[in-house]
Amino acid sequence: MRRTVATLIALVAGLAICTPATASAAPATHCTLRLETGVVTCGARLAAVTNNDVIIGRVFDDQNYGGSSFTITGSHPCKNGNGRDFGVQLAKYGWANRISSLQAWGNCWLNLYSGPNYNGDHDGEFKADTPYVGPLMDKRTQSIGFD
Amino acid sequence: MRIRSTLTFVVAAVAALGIVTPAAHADSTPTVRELLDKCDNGTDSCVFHPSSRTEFGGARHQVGRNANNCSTVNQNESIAWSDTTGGSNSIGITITAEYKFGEEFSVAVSATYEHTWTWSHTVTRTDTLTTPPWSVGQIFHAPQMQRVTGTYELHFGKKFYGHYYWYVNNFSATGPEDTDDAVTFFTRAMTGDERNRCPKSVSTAKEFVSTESTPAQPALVASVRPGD
Repeated sequence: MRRTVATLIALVAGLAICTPATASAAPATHCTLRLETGVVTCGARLAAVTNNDVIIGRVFDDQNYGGSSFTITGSHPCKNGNGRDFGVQLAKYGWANRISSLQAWGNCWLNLYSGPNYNGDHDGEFKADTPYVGPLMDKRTQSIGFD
Repeated sequence: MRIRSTLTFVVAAVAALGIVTPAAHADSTPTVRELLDKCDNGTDSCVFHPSSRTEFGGARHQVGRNANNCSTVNQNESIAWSDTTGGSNSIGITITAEYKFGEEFSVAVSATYEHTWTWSHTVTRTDTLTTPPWSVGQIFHAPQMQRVTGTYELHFGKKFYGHYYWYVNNFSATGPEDTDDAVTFFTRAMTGDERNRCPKSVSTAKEFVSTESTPAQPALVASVRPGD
């Protein structure tokens, strides 16, 4: 099932505390976006998933999975090779131009784009945990496609 | 290793570590140990996703025997020693090769942090100590340690306890690094009991006049055993 951007309208209850870290002294925050509802919840630690969703990806501010993180959950794992399963516009959640490392979960392959709506420079597919996304997309990702 | 299948389209359900408590849901929820035993041993895929790594110095402890210098001159002594440092983990079992989740852990950590992960590390070496007169030389070893925390993601081809996906959150393990071990040489003056245990023939060395270019420490030269 192809997910469109329209399904990602966020209920921004937890968005306020997911703003980018602005200084090195800022504590890391760990937010989770549930694509089914668009709800973001954040906390000081990586949260456990307690509903029937599947984690499909996790991205990080710093290399080696350091700094703040943003976890995306979906209603099902990715199918691979059958088009786009999910997509995320990062600016909605304060995560544009931040990603330095990522993890591929739920059988998903991640595609990074430097522009919104999967435009601009592209790198991927990232099929496994990647401690550094590389110079092309480091701190430049604005949208992610999950295939 | 992770296995991908284009045919796999499952309605996934998830249980986190907080839910995997044996007492509360004994009938419907596997234990953490039960889940990890299934890693690459009944799963379609089992992946460890690291989330943090820290380095720290392990506890310093003496290795090898004491080098007792019962003479009035500096003494060089060669001491061979070996020290094995093991790891630990949040589920409290000793990780051996039979545990596939341990292998997944090692692979993920090594790939991410470019630091080899080992569950046990042995240092074997020989050091030469220079011990002043009437002193004890000792070698101390403080292994360099690392701690990694993360989440296991397990996908089952058939439902396991009612779900295709299970996560084991907050798994952490501590293990030795194979580099940067801190080795310290330490000398101290003998106690009275230790001096009494010196061979009599050696202890009479108070009459001995050192010809070494490095004189014994003045305080120690004066501390010839009383009564000899």
